Amino acid sequence: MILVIGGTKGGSGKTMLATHLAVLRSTKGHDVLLIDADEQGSAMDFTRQRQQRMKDGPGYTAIQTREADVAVQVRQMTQKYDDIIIDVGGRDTASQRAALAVAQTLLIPFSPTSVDLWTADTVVVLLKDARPFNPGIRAFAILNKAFSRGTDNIEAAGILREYPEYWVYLADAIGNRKAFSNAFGGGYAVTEYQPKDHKAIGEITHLYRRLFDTKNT
Amino acid sequence: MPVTRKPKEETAPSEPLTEDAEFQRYLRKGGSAAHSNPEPKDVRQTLVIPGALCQEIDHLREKLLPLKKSRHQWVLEAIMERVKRDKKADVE
Repeated sequence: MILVIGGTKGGSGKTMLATHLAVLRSTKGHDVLLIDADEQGSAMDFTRQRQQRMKDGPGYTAIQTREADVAVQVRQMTQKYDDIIIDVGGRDTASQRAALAVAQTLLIPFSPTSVDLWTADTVVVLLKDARPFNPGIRAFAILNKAFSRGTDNIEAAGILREYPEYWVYLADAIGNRKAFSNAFGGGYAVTEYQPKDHKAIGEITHLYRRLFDTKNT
Repeated sequence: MPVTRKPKEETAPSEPLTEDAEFQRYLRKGGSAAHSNPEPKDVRQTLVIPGALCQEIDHLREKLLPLKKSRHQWVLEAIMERVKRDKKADVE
């Protein structure tokens, strides 16, 4: 699968999801390429941290590239890897557009805040622009950093469900859990981090299964 | 209500893009990486000014009241004028 974690809002948790999915996928025995197409390079930082912490290495291959070269790299590497996961920056960039032109799946995380949800229309523009080059791309939206109480998650979900022609809304949100940021800082996925946060593990595992449909893996 | 909808804005629909040149056009609609054209960093340069020239500069600066400029600012503007003059001469 060629999966892009995208969107036009920074801080929505794209890198955290991209690195987690890369770790989970590689842990299941798949050969994964993680492409960091965000100029901040946080996925590469995570991978370097992981390289130092894990005696067997990060478990996947990571490269950093940007703009049109993202599409070039994906086309060249698609036969060499089982899965390619692309982390793009939280803006409408040439890198994100190049990724959308070659990806099979787009995952768009939104935090349940007005300022995040307001970017939904700009993601729609991106998808509209990309579809002539990549008509088969399918997109999923998910709430990330969901609140533990209040009605914001429900209201946000209601807004994200209003775009059925552009994406499928995944109802199982990822919570705003300290375990994710703590694990990320150490170069770990929450599945590897101690102490274990079983809710965090359950949420990310559910997302992984939903995206990769792991009946046969 | 803490979660509100974004105010609606009229936007023109994008045209279908199929050719390779069109793909490039599609890419360029997205911004470039922030540091693809980095601004040159400021350079710290120690400048030794002959005493007499420095006095002359300070005298001229005094005349700029009430908007007296710092010596640094005055010298920097003088350099910029020189660069502008030399660039103009280079074009001609």
